[in-house]
Amino acid sequence: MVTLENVAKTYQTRRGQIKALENINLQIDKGQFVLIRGPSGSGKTTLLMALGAMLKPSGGTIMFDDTNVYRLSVSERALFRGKNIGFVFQMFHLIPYLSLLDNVLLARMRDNSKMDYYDKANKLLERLGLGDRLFHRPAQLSAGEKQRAAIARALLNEPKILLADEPTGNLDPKNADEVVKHLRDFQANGGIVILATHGALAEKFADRIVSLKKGLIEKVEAQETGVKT
Amino acid sequence: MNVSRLILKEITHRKINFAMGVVAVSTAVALFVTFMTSGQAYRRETRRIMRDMGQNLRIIPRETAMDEFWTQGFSSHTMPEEYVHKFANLKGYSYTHLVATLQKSVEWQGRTIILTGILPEVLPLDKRHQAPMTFSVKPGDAYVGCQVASIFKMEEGEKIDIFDNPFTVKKVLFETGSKDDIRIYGNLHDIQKVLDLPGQVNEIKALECLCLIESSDKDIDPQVLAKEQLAEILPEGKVILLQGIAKIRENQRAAMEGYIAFIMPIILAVCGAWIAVLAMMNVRDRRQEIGIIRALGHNSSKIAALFLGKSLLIGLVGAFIGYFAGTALALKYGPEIFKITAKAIKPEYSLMTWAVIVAPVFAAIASFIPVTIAVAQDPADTLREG
Repeated sequence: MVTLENVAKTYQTRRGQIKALENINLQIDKGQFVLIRGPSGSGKTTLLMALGAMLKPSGGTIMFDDTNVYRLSVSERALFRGKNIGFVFQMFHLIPYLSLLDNVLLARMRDNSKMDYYDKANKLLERLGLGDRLFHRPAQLSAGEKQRAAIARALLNEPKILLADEPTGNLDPKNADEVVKHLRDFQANGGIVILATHGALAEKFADRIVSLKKGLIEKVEAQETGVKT
Repeated sequence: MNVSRLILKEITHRKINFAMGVVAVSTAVALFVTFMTSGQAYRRETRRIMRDMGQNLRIIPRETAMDEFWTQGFSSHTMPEEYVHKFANLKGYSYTHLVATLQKSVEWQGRTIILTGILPEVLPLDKRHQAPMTFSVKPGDAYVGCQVASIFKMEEGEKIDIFDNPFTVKKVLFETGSKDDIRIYGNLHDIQKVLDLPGQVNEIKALECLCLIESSDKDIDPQVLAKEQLAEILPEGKVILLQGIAKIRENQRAAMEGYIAFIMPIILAVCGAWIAVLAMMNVRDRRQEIGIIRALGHNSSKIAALFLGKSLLIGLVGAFIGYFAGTALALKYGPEIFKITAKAIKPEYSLMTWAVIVAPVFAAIASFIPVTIAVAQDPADTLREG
């Protein structure tokens, strides 16, 4: 379970303070698909980064079950992030000089067995329809394939939460649907999916839709999706 | 995926960045190795030349007043001629030329001339084949300086009389622009007779003289030792060491080392800045990569290792290339630049160890600021930009 209490984030700029998030209160349970919606500049990415243990809020607390992640040291937080949180970005962020397999294996933490993870990465890529692309470089893949590879990388450590920032922003409808399908598979296996978008993507699959406006929660809509975890 | 594999993959992807870094390190190492190889050769050669050259000794009569000696160029006192043979037969000394003279300034036909008697040069047994350094004058002959010849209108073959001693002008010497122009040279024994100083000389020059006697006290300069020992063996003589050439060589060497000491820090600073700029460019190019690695849960030390590891590799490859390039440069162009050391220039293998240890550390230090920036980079910022 993820709990956000009075989360706020203020950026200091030369022109003064910018309140990116203010008074965010949210509770997300295991197996939920949460859609964070809002126009550009509404605070979606900032919220996602804060949830991803990468951006310390200026105020409030973010709890992962009983862990206040921002109370951890920087290296403990990095380890926590690596083991519990997966990221999927609009721009894929695959490393251009690594093969698809190596890109996925990049997520392997030092204390994990190399051989086990090699097999795991292979199976993941196979499952995502990239079995014949293992040794291709990102530049040799289509946008849809790149995003699926990014999902495979995010899933390698079997995280509890998957954070996706406009994951279909660069994809055609067919590939977008396929990416959403994989996110729903993750949810169906008990994971939390938090997806930020400014469009109407995945609305029908979301258990909750959180609308942000100027850093504030405008409304939270709950809906029945029929997904059983 | 381990750090070393990631570094190698990145290098093969951004070959130019790596190659430019290697060029920077190789340049610094190559120049250093070239200077050091040539410099070592120069030092070795200088030592050899000085050793081989030895010292030029001047043995003059003990009572000589040095102010008078330096003013007129010879002593007004004399010492036994047998000192020449004593010196020649000394064990523990080596020389290439031994020249004894008797010189005196005299009034002759209303003019001041310097009568100079020369003993035929004594050559060491093992160097008999070499050409004498000075001319030798046969008994009854005279070699006349050009001023003397001009004043007295002397010509070669002319008979002259010096204080009732007959001489034949064998040769009129070329103008030298020195005291030699007012000399009349004769055989030592003829001049001794003219001056009524039988068996006397007032200077013995031992050229390229080496003292081969070793002292139990290693701190004593062999040349100082020679001076002390000769004073005992030749009690009526005293020894002057001519150190001019040695000083000049020493000064040349100091000047060259000073030049290297001046130029090397500049080269190192330029190459260091070059590596730092390349590392900075690399960090900028890899902002998102750094962000994603951090997002995947890897800590700052992995990011630092990625960049420092690359710098160390640049330093290592640059060290090898630089060492071989520098040595090749020294071997090819060194002999032209340092003509005197041409044969002494050879690869300095000890510099390879130096290069392999110091160059990677140097490259890592040069990349320190960019690495710090990479580590301090906020992954949230870089990923948001994406």
